[in-house]
Amino acid sequence: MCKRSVIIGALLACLPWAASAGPVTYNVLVDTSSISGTTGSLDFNFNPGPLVSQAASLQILNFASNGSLAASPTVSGDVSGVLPATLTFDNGAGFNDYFGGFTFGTTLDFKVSLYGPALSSPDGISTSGSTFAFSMFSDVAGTTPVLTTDLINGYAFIADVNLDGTTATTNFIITSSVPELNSFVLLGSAISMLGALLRLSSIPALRKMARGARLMSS
Amino acid sequence: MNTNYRIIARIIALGFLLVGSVSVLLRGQSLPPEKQTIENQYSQERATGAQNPAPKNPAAPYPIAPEQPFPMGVLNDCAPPFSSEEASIENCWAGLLNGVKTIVYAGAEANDIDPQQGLVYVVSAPTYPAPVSGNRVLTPVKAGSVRIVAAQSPLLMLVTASGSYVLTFNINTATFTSVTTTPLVLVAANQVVTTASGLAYSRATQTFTGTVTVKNISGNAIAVPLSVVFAALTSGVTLLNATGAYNGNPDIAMPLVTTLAPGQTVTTTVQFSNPSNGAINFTPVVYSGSL
Repeated sequence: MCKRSVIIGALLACLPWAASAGPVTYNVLVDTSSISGTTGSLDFNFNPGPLVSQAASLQILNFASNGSLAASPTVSGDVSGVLPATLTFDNGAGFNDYFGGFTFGTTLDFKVSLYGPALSSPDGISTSGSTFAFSMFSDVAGTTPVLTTDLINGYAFIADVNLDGTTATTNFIITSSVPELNSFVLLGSAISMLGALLRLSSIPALRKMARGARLMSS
Repeated sequence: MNTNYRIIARIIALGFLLVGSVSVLLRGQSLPPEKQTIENQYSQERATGAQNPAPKNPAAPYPIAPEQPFPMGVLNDCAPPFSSEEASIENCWAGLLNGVKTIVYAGAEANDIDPQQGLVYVVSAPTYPAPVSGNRVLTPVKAGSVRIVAAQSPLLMLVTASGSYVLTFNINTATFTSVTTTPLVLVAANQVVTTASGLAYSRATQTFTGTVTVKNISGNAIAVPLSVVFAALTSGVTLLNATGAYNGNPDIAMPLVTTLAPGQTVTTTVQFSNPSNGAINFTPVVYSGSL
């Protein structure tokens, strides 16, 4: 079992990368504070490709948020479960989708676990992979993508199951940083350090040490 | 006597004033119905506006519209910034060239000028306030309109309408660097392997997006242009970014302007509309040469 952590937020921006074959779990953590209170929606889908795909499955685990999920999600294809409980997808149908209303809080956290023969024992003859896509919207109809740099398709996070059993992710999520605050914090830290240095240099013992050092060097 | 005249004059003036006022009042009441409707609408709008006046804050910042995404790649839906009386545009390529937004339009001179003369326009739009610049380049052969089929910045591959010629255009130098004729060849199944990724569904665009990859598994280089024909595409499904059609099937030119060397792969994005949301299937058929 291979565990991967994809922290998506102000701390770390993820780049596309490939993981080794075998079951894989990604941790998706989104800072949604910039849209807290917005009544929007979430979409999860896991679909095969247009050629021949080997069987693969996916679970959304440990869904946690201080936002609130709307009742009655729209489910299509091979999907079972209801958030915040575990969702289970497989790629048996062409379109496997879970779409539901969601009022955003300040954070959104879940795990994506990919498993099945396509990951654990690639057959070498399949010609299509499978792809998981997660999107967030600022409207209940799911037409206006939010917190993503992909302004056209609106994907926030994508995980591909490749033909050799590896996986690859692409992260489009925008971190909700407040640069002014960070700048002030840095400036404050710098001033504090400067003040501390000035205080230290005024201590007689340190002045003596400094004088001694100058004498030794001369 | 004078006093009498003054009194009479005042009475006459008051009479005119009274008659005038009454006539104005009567006219106001007897507007034609269509004018009265408009007048009523204006009155209603004025009343509504008075109840909800616009906020007056001269210090408020101007609303900043978010910058529209800059679409990149070979695009069929182009809005050329010049008249159709000057040129007929087939398609365009958009991308960043040395960090500058650049669009290359391909087509031919207008029917009234010389439709056999192919041409391209190169338009560069650096960051404001630097001016937008343009360059018009004629094709070295007159074989009708040209169309961009592949791009590997800064090189573009174009084909003429008849498919007789394949041209390579260097955007940096704004010159055609080669003109060749390439026969159309069906690439045998034992020479290439075509694979595809899964298809991510976009609820925003109601489309499915993925990639298609062609790998040369033969020992010989395969000539370009290289196209994948989507044969037997599921009924009701449309390949939205098709670059053309061949024998009634949509095709897509692979983004490759040099040969596909042994072992080399080339990948392109594919986007489907699929109103039924059923499974999407097709049989890939690879061609070398102009379709």
